Amino acid sequence: MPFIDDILRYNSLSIVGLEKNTGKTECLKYVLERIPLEHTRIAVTSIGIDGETTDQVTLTQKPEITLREGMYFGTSEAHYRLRRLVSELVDVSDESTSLGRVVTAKALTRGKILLSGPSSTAGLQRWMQSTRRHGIDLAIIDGALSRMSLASPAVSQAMILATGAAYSANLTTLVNKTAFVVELINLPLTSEDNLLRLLPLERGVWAVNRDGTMHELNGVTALSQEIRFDGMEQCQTLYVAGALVDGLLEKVRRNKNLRQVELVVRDFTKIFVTPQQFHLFIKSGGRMTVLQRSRLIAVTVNPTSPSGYNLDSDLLCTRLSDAIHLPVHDLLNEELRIKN
Amino acid sequence: MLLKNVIDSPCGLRYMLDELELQSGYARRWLLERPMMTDADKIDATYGLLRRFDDFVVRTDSTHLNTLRFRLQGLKDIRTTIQNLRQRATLDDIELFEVKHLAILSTDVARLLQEQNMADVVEIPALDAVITILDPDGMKIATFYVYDAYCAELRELRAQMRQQPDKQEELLLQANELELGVRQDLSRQLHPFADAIEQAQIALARIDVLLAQATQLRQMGLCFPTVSADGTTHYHAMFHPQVQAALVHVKREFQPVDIAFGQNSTLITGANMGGKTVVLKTLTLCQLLFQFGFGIPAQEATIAVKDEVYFCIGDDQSVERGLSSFAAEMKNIDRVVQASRTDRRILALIDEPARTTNPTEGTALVTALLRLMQDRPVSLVMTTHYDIDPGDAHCLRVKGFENGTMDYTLVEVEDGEAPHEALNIAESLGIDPEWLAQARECLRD
Repeated sequence: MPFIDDILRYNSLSIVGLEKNTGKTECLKYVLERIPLEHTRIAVTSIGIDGETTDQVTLTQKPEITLREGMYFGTSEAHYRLRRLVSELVDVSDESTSLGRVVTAKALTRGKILLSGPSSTAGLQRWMQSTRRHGIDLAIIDGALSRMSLASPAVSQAMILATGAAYSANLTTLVNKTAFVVELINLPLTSEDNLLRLLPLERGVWAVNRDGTMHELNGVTALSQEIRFDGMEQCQTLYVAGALVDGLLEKVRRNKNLRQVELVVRDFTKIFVTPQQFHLFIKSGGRMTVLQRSRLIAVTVNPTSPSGYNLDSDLLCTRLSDAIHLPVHDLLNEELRIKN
Repeated sequence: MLLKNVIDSPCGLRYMLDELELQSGYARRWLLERPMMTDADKIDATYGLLRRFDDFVVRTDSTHLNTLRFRLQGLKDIRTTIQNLRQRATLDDIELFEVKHLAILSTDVARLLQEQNMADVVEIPALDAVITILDPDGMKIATFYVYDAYCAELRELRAQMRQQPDKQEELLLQANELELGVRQDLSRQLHPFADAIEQAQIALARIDVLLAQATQLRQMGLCFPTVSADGTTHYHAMFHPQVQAALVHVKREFQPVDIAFGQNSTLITGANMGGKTVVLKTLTLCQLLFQFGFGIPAQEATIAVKDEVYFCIGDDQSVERGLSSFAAEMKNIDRVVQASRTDRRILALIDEPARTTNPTEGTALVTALLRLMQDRPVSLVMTTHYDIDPGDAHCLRVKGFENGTMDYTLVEVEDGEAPHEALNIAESLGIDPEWLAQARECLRD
C-alpha cells in the first residue's frame, strides 16, 4: 500500500487539495481505511470549513467521512450532534468556529461523521497539542488550501498533496502548476535564530540586520514605489509575515541592497506569486525560506475533472513524478487494478 | 462598580491584570465581574484568604503548584449549561460532558488543596453524587457518552450495530431514541445539583485568581495592606509596576515614594518631570488594587476604604469625542464636585486642573476647588503649577532637580507656592539658549 508506512513515522499529517474535486477526500478515505489502528491512536479533523459558506448554511454539503472504531476525531459542536456513530466525548475545547466549539471524541462504532475543525492556525496547533494529551500518536488534518482559510496545513509534520484535472485539464500545465506548488512546499526552513525571532510576529514586513536587531518596515505594501529604509545595507533577512505577492517580490528583486537577502515567509500557503516572478527572484540570487514546513510524502492525482474531462492516468503519474521527484499515485486507478 | 468598568483607567490597572498568570479564561471573566469592595471587613477577609495562598505559594514546591495550575487550566465556562439544567432542559452529550468534567475537576482540585492543608480556605461543594450519575462504570475519567450501563436495550442495539454494519442506519435511529430517554433521565437527576455545580465553578475561579494574585505578589514585590482605622492612608516605598518595568527596560531605576494623606486635601507641587503625575497614577492604582483585593505595590501600605475613586488626568481622547481639552477636563472634575455633595467617601486624584486655560482664571478655579472640598468627605490629592493659597490643605513638594539628577522624594512644605525651575530644567534638556535667555529677560521685566 502506497505511503501508509511513511505516514506512521510522523505525529501529524495534512492532506491538502489544490482544487475541489482533486480527490482530497478520496485520499483521506484511503488513509483512514488502511491505517493500522492496533498500535497507533489516530485523530482526524478538518480546517476546510471557513472557505465554504454553503456547508455553514446547509450543514450537509461537505462529504461525510467514515471512521473506524477506535479513531478519534475533532469536529464542531453542530457537526458532532449530526454524527452517525456511537462516540465518547473526550474534550470540549475553547476553540470556537462558526459552527460552535471544537469537540474531540472517540468513535466506539464504525460510522459517518461530518468534519469541521479549528479555523485558525493557532487553534489548529492547540488542537494538535490537546490530542497528544489524549495519547494520540498521529493527527490527520483534512486541509484546505485557499486564501479563505486562516488555518495553515503547513503546521503539520507531513503532507500529502492532491491534484488533478480539476486544477488544470491540460496535462503539461497541470504538471507545471503542481510542480511549482511542490517547489514552494519544499522551500527550506530558515535558521533557528530567525525562527525564534520571527515566529511571534504575525503581521508586517520586517528587516533583520546582521547583528540580529530588527525593525518593522512601515509603508511597504504592494502599492509603494520601492523599498527604502535606513541601514538597508546591513539588512540580512527580510521577513514577510503576511501574503507575499508579485509586486513585493519584484521590488525586493529590483533592489540592489536586498537582492541577496534571505526572504522569509511564514509558510508556503502565504506565497501568492506567479512562477515567473518566483523563478526570476531565484535566478537573480534570491533565497527564500519558511518558518514552518511540512515534509511532502506523496502526491495523489485525480485524472478526471468535474466537467468530465479525462487525462491519461499513467502518463500523468509518470510525468508528474519525474518533475517533482516524488511518488505520485492515482488511488482510484490503483484500487481498480488490485481488484482486477 | 465592577472591575471591568475601571480596568482601562489611565492609572495602569490593566497591566496588573495582564501580568496575572490566570490559568483559565473563565477565571478572568469572573474576576472582571467582581464589584469593588467598600466594606472594610470584606476587604480584610479577602486579604486573609490571599495571605493563606501566599503562604501556600511560598511553602509548596513548584511541582505541586504546577500540578494545581495545570488542573485549573481545564476550568471552562459552563454557565449556559448550568442555566439549561436549572430550567429543566434536557442536556445533550456535550453539556453532560461539561458537567462531568467540572465535577471531576473540582474533586481533583479539592483533593490537591486538602493534601496541602488548604481545604478550609475556599469551600468547594462536593460533587461526588454528580460524578456517580455521570460515571456509571466508575471509570473516574472525564469523558462522556450515553454509556451502555444506563440501558440494557441500548447495549443490545449497539452490539447488533457492530455485528451487522449493513443495518447500522436503522439501528442508530432506534439507539438515538433510547439515548434521548437516558439523557432526559440524567438531566432530571442532575437538576437538584445546579446550584452546587455553579458554586463549584465559582470556587475554582476564585482559587485560580487567588493563586495568581499570590504569585504576582511575590514576583512583583507587592505587599499586604492594612485597612486604615482612622481614615488616613500611608504608603512607604510606593512604586508603579508598569512604569518600573518600562524604566528597567531602558536600564533606569524607579525611585519609590513615601506619601501620606487623610481627609484633608493634599496639594503636590514640584518641578516639571518631577514625577507628580506618576504619584497620582500610582495612588489611583493602589486604591483600586486595594478595593479589588490585589497585592499593593509598596513596602508598606495602610489604606482607607473609599466608596468612589476618581482619577482626573488630561485626556488625549477628548479631541476625538469633540470636546476641547479644557471642556473634557472641567466635565471630569465636575463629577467629583457633584459626588462631593453626598456622604459617600471619595478619593479624588486630579492632575494639574485648569492647566490649559489662562493662569489667572486657572488659579482661581483651582483655589476654589480646594476651598469647596475642605469640609466635604473627599480626600483630594491634586498637583498644580499654579501659586495657590493652600488654606488648610496639606502641601507636598517634589524635591526636584539637584546636582544634575532628579530627586522624586516628596517633602512637606508650609505653603503651596510652585517652584520656579522650568527654565533650569529646559536648559538641562538642551533647549535653544537664545530662547531661554529671552525668557529670563521677560521674567526680570
